[in-house]
Amino acid sequence: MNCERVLRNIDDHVDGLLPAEEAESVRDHLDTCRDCRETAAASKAASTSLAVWGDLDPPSACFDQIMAKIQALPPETLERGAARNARRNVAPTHRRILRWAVPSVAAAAAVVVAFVGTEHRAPKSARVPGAGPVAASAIASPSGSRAMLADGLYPGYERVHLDPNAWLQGVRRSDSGTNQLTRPRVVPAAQFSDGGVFASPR
Amino acid sequence: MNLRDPETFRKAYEAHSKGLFNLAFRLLSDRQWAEDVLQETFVRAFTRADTFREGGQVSTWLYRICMNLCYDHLRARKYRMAASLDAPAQAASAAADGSATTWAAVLPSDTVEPATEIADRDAAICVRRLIDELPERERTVVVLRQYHNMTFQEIGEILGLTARTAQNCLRRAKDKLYFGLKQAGLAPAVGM
Repeated sequence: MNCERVLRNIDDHVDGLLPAEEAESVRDHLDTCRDCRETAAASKAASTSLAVWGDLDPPSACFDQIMAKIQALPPETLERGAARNARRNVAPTHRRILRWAVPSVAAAAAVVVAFVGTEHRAPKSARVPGAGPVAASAIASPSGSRAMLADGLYPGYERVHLDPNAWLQGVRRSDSGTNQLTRPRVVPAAQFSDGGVFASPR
Repeated sequence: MNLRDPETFRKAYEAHSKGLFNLAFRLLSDRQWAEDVLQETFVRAFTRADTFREGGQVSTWLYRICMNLCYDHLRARKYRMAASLDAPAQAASAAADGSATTWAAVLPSDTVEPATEIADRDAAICVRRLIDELPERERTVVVLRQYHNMTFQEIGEILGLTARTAQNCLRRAKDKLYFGLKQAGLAPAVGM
């Protein structure tokens, strides 16, 4: 038996909970290993010192006091408990997954939307025929960008079909302060129903 | 098992009240608090009996309720002690005129009832102090293991830990206890 295994069983050994055969192996190891022997001695000393606390009996009137408290409870307390339990009547594993998955997915979706919305703004130079308030807001959103690409409204860009499995590529900020796509980007198919279409500079 | 059945409830009380009372007493170091926690444990077990899952162990469920209530009390005590430190002058004057309301004055936690039954009172006080200084989780593992003879598996179920983590907690706690006792010159001499 090596030190690691002995240390794993040392508390059970000290408390006399190990099966006889394993206890014998531990004792054999302790005879030859000084470090483990010291650890065992410390554990034994701590256990011995803890024995100074005896057991106490709860006060005899305690049960009657508990029953008095229960009888004094308003009836709706018990009904509330039942209602709460009915709400929780979902499999525990599902409940645990839902508790973490829903906020996580929501947070991830928010990050993706914010990122895509920021990076896919149209260049300042883009001129939209008949641009008004509605067209301007459409430019700032991914779906608006897609619609404008489809209509050929981004001068200097063209539609390309991308491999949806390709890695996301970088974005370079131009001198004029606008974001320009230097390489084709992959956009999740969920946002681009035609399976990943975006623009690259001509 | 339906804990709202009076007979079942009484049997559960008779089977587990002593263990729960001692767990609370050892975690809180205060007899009155331990009694309050014991009562609250069974009231809560009654009102939330419908949350007990069939097939589970009543003892594990009751110990978990009791342990959580003890943690609530310990946090409340810590908060109140911090609050009383903010107004030491007020506390001193209240203690002087007998109208003390600070936590330490109302519920002194240094009374050592079981130690009166043993010869080495100093060791008992030292052990209690060292256990009080342990982190909540380590303290609970020590108490459940040493006084309630629970396996690491059972302790893990109550505390929501793996058996290995519970074992490591006990190891750390025992090391701290041993070195604390050694520093105080109270470590019992044992031969392995």
